[in-house]
Amino acid sequence: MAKDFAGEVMSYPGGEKILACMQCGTCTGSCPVSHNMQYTPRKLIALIRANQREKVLSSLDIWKCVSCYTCTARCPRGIKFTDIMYILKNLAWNKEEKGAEVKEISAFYDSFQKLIESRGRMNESQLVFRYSFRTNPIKLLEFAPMGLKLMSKGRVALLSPGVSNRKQVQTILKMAGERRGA
Amino acid sequence: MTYQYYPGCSLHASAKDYDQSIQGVAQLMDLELKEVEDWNCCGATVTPSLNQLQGQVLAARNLAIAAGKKGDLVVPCNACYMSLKKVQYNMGKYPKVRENITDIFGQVGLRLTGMPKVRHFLEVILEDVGLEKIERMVKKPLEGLKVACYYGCQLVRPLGFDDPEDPQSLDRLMSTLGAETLPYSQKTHCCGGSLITTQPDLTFKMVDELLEEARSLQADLIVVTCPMCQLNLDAYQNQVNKKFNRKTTVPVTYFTQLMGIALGLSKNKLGLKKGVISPSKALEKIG
Repeated sequence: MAKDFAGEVMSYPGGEKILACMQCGTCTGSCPVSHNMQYTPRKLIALIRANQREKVLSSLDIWKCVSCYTCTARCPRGIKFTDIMYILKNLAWNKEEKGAEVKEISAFYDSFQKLIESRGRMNESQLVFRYSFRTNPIKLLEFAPMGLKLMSKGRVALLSPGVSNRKQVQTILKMAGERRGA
Repeated sequence: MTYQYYPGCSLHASAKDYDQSIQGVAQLMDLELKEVEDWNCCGATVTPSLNQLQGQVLAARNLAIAAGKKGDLVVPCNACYMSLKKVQYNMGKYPKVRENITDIFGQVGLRLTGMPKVRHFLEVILEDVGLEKIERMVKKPLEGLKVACYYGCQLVRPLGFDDPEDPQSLDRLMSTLGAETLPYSQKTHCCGGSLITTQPDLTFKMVDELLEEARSLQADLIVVTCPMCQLNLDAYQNQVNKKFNRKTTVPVTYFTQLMGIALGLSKNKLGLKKGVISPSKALEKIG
């Protein structure tokens, strides 16, 4: 029998306790960004349990989680909702079609990821360049005043060294990518 | 004491001042920091958002390189600290995670046997050096300096060494150095992290709330333990203030910079000129 959505979420590390939710809303009340969400953490749990896979995974709300772990620290049922958000983002990322409103965020995540794949370390300025060119190069103008300020303070490393053994980093990323999940 | 040191990506760029002040303070306290050879990005919150296993192998590669070598693994960034600690926790809790990682690592010659304990630099200062020793080392007390101690999220949640809601370690350290610590109720609220790039409307508000409380408490400085928090509160402060029409600024310094001052290190060696919002005026108070 095909697993329902809750079963799917539960099969990943961190998702196992989702059925224990009693819909008390401590997560939503603690979340620093829930005021800006259509589907708050409590609602997302309800939607997962109501098997609303498509609605949850196409939502921009799952990409608003800032990983502050306040919901996880406070949940009276021990549900690690931040981890569930990671599971949801993973599943959404694997979907062929991503919603239009997720486009900007996808570009940022993808730029970061490509940078890590190519050099093993993050470089803030290269990240901003990549992201701006992927979305709207005019963004560079918005970043410029701060970028120049940081540069004048010696806080921009345009060419910081990457990892030497890039092949190893690339290999483990590739093997992990092929396994999906966990 | 010897430690392995994982600086993380920011400390080579926007947070060079943090790195500089850590090196200065560590030397003074006889903490030998040996940088992990050929370390890589911890994945932060980005890679695990796309693929959790990829995030975990990234973080775990650093643990594998440090495995079997002398000394705990010291991490200065809240986000790196959490990423490295979390993969260690997950490998213990979920056999599937451990099997996947060890299997992948086996194919590239990485071994996890003898992984080091992951600790934040603040934790090492408090637990290994201790406040009594630090008190004796203070040469220039931070008297009269009112500070808001800001811990952020991932230092204390979900696997931190201090209370997840009302941590005290940084407050105790600052008091020991002679500063007046303020009752900063948002000490563990979130700065918005990397969302500040993609969703500024959402995160500028979070930054503004943090700054506003510090201002209302008449804080001279906000003290931080994380390069991401520092960047959001400091580098974005002018934009945030403009958006919310705020007239005054609050400098944001690393705890290690204030430690350096109190322990008598030269200000030039602490990167104090690197703040976008200069702390010089606030620091005049202590001369």
